[in-house]
Amino acid sequence: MQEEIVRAHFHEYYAGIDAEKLFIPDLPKREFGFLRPDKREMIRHLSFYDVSSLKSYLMSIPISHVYSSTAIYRDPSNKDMNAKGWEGSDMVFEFDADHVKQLKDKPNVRSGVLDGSDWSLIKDHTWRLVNDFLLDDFGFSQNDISINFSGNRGFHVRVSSKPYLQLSQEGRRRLASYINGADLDVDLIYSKLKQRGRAKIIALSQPGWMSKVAKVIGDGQNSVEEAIDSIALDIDENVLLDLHRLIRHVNTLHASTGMIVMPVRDLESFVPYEDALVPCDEEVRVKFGDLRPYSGISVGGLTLSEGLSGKDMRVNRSVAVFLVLKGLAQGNN
Amino acid sequence: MPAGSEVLKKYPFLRGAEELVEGLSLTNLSDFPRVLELAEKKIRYMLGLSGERDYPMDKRDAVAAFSASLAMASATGSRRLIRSYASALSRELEKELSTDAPDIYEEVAASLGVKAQLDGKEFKMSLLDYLSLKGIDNEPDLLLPQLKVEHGVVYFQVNVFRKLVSTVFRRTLVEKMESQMRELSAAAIDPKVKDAIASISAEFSKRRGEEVDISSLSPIESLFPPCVKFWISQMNKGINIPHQARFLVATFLLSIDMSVDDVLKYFSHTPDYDEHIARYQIEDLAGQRGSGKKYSVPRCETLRTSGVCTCRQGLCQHMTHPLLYYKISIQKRLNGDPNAGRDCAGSFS
Repeated sequence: MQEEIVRAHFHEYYAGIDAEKLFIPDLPKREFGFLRPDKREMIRHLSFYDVSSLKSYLMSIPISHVYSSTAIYRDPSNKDMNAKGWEGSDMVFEFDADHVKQLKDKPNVRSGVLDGSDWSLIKDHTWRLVNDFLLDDFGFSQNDISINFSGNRGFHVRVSSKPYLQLSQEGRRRLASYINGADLDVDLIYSKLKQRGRAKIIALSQPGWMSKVAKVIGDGQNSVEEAIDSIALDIDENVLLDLHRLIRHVNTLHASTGMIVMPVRDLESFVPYEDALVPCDEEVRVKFGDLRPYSGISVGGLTLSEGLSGKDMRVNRSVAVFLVLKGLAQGNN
Repeated sequence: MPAGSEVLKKYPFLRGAEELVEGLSLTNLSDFPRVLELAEKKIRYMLGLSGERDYPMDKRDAVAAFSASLAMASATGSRRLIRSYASALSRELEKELSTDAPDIYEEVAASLGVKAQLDGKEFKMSLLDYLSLKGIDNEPDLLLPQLKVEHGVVYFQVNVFRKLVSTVFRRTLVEKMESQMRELSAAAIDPKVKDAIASISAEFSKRRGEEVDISSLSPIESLFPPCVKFWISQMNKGINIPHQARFLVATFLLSIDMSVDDVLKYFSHTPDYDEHIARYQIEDLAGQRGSGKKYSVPRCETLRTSGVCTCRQGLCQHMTHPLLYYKISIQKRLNGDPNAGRDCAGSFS
């Protein structure tokens, strides 16, 4: 019964999706990979001529995580990585709750269900990455930046800028170290803060890290180290540096949540546990498990609470799929 | 179009300079005794082997002597000499630039492939051009967080830009000389030139001490580079370490001539240790299996990129390779330096 609910959810989603929603630039040049939920074996080195063939394939396979490469290749389906003919890679900055130092040790985050404050923090980090670093400092065009909800615990910010496609790992590492503050010379900041008069004003207004730190220190309430800590962002450096990375393909379903890996137009108003659920009118019966650690978290209008633990109830199928895949409920006849 | 005489005498590597010395090589260098003399004196002076400096009178001699000196340094076959010579030339360039107005920097930088423009009292460069520069990551002042960055443009104060240009110059020279070293055929060198090269090489070795042959020494764990020590300490605590860190530890230990059995002992504390598998993998890295390819120790740049580098202080700030750190630390210890091998000592125990 349980498996049937999930299978129907995936099948109906892919049957009903407008194939165009699966489009990304240079689609035929991307490598695709598919991973079953048990994560035992990745089927990769596949490519698709167009979105229709991708959609047909998605309808023909068992439930899977769906990935496409950040890279474009002359021959994306070649199994020999050296023979694929790398032509460049988009830059992807990944924020996942389990990589964010303020969140990664929270029990609910570890089990993959985030509360409102967790989402606020991740959205704030994502917004600051885009606004403060990618637009203000690095000068990328808004048109080259896209934000995708990962379908589970975070966001992917993708920069598809032609001149940067062939940027080396070394260059990408410099960007990562800038964003996470790893290469920052704290002594240099202190020495600038010690300056006086006009020299100090000029030093503190220097665009980049210096002015960011100066703004946070402001009236002297925060130390330099605290300021740096509050500005630096925990992006997953490995994702950015990996030129052959496969990341979740837009508008496919995350196989561990049943939610849509979806483009986010308005980050502030985006509510993952509502907006990324597959629209569905059908209700199914589930039996809740122990919901105590998740009290107050709302999924598709259903607020989880201790009182629901162990109860039988009919809920929206997309909510049911999320709860079943997260191990918070079981499908029931 | 080559630059003016005085400029070329100071900066004999500017674009177009080589047109002035086409056809000059180590085969026919002795046909130009003045150039040979200038080149030899330049190397000796820059390496600190002699206090005598000889200045070329015209730009052609300056360019020829510079070009010949690089070829001669390459022909010594010593990477250490090449790097020392490149460092000395790079320091000299930084000094020369400081005596010139910033207007000339643009041309000097462009000759090295550094695209920047003077903008008021600072230099600016596109972020993409900055990110494409090679070999600047060991200089903290040149790292992006220390610089003014705005809307995709990176700005440098004049003194920082001088540092950038000289750092890129050093890297360019090392690459050029190492490439010449690989391509050079000893038979093609004129005997007179060969004598001069042999003499420089012998004096350099005598002055700096023979290169430490690390394979002839018993391993001195306290002088291992901080990254290797850190990852070994993690394994000793029973922590599983990343694949790249295992690769570093294994290739490093093998390259200082430790046996596969001795290397295995370092890995025996890891929770997932399986002697059969570990032995197979280490033998493979040592070139004792399959293709017979022996794997090299990754460079510092690679370690930083893969997140395996654990120290950017002290000697590590200037390092390009973990083995170089080990060699220098041994040399320092032999010279009685009590701080040898103590960089980032607090990060492992």
